Amino acid sequence: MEPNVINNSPEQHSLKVTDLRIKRGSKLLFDGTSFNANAGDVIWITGSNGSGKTSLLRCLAGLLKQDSGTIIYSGNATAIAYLGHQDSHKNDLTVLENLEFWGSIYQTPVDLEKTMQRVDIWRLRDLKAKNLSAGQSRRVALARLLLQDANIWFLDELAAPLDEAGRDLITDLTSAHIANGGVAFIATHTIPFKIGNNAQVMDLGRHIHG
Amino acid sequence: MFSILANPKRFLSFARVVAPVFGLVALATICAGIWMGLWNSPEDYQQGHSVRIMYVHVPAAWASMMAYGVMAIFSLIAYVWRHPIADEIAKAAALPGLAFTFLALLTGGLWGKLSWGTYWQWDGRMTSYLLLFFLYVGYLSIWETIENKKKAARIAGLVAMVGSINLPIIKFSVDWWNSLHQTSTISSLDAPGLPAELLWPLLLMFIGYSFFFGWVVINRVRYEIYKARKIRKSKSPAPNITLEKL
Amino acid sequence: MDRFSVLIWRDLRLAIRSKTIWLQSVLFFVIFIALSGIAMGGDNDSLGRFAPALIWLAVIFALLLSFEGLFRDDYQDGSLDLLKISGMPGSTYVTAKATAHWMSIVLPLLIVLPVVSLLLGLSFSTYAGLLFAILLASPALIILGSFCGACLVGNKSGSMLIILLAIPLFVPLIIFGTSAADSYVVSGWNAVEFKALLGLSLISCAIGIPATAAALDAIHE
Repeated sequence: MEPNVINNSPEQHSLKVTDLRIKRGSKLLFDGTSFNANAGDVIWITGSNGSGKTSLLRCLAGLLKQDSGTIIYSGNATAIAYLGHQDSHKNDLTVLENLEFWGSIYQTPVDLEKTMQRVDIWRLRDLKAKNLSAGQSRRVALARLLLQDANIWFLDELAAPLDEAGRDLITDLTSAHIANGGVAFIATHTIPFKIGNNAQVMDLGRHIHG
Repeated sequence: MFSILANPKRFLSFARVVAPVFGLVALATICAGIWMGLWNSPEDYQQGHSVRIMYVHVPAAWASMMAYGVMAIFSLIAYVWRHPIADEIAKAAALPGLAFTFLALLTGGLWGKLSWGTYWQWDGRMTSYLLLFFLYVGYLSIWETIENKKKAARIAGLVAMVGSINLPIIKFSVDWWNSLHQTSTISSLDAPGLPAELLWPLLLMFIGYSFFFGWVVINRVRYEIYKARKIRKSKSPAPNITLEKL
Repeated sequence: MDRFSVLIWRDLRLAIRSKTIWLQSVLFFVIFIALSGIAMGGDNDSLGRFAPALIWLAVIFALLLSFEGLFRDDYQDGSLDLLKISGMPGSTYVTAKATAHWMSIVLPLLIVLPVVSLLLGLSFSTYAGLLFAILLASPALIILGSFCGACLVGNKSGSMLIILLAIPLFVPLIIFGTSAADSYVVSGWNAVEFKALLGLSLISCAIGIPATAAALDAIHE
């Protein structure tokens, strides 16, 4: 199996997938899948449950080993961010403590307070994570995503627990991200909408059991 | 040799020839070993006929160690080079290995009852084999309980490798422990220059066990390959995926 | 603060706030010893003779019950994924987790050890030998237990299987650990058991840390 290649060229961030093959159990989800994503792209991944949205995102983010094929990141490859189904907060820590922890892990120059204000959670900073509502918890996860200062985003069912304002926030954040030359992959159940000039859809289709 | 057998197709054609040979050799040597052990060897001047348990017990103990060695080596090969067949071999070696260990413990207990008057002694050998038994059960339970087979293979491989480092440490510590208590052990085997009429049936039985072990392992791997093929045939192809502009 | 200490600090903070981890093992430890005293008929002579063995068993089982939870939360809430993406080396993560676990489990046990020793009527020198033995064996106990915990993280029948996997790994430590207490009374620091326990701890860390990291990495298969 070829490893994921990291190409630290000065050119803009991009991701090149060649001949990807992913098998889960006895089910072949992807075979010979190839595509490119360049700076400024928003790629929506749609498809029914079990069609492999999460597997694809996890594989692209380096969290699931592909059976074969290569994934080449150009640009700064350490800057990958993944936001999965879970918010990954520690219930017994406050919002601020949770984010301070991830700030120290990522060691990026992003300002914590400004980031928290940007997603409107500064006022929640001393609340324990277990006392957050699902929407608030998702916003804290968004703050962590921003702290990571990543170039390529992989977002899984991001908007599910969010209200109208939360969805607008995601649109704003993603627009700003791709305007800075970032790339975003977003898996969703709902109907994709246009963000930026290069929004694309990858439909994984319906899953047939067996 | 291993890299050739890493291909399932070549493994199958290899197995078709080798498995029956192994089976026949095992049958012949075990029969010969039993005949020599039971009728064509002297009884012990102290233990009498009960010494004949040795011809089942000692080769089983040797074979259980050998099976663990095979398991650990193929786990290493599978872990480093990611050969799926090596994983199957390691997995297939565990169950006969467990059976040999169980046989060694069972016959050891019977022999112990006849020669020391107790079924169990906390001596170095028996304690080591008891722990070996746990190692086998632990290894097999990894395969049983982890549903994602790729993950199970990695974890089981690590467990087998760590266990193989642990075995000599166990052996060393129980031997040291035994030197404190001075318990009795089955000593007839430690005697240098075992007479040939005892050694021959022992060796024959061990060779028979080894070929039997090889026969079981090859057939189990064969079965797994056939099973994997069946699944592959019935599978629907992956959908063709493209990007479309929104 | 560097990533290593940040991780330790987070785990300690969680351990202090949730209390369940250390309180559970301390309670188990004390209850086990109290029940042993009762089960052995309250006879001080035989209790004294078997005290090192009983204390070792109590320590081993108090620890064994804790390994299931060691990586469980980080695995279930996705923190493990995020830490991998952050580029943190697996061995750094494992070492930090093990260190924090030592502080939140072994340390409380060592603190209640004098009380427990009084319950069993141990002499001071036996207590000292036992304390040194547990101290020297604890890195091995923690890292080998972590390995077993990592192998079975997310496994439904995890806790029982962890005990099964860990027992053969722990036996050498139990053998040297139990006899260390008696040997210390006779030969003090020069007792061969201490050297053996130190050696076992070094080997266990050298093998256990990369093996645990590798076991956690298998999640991504």
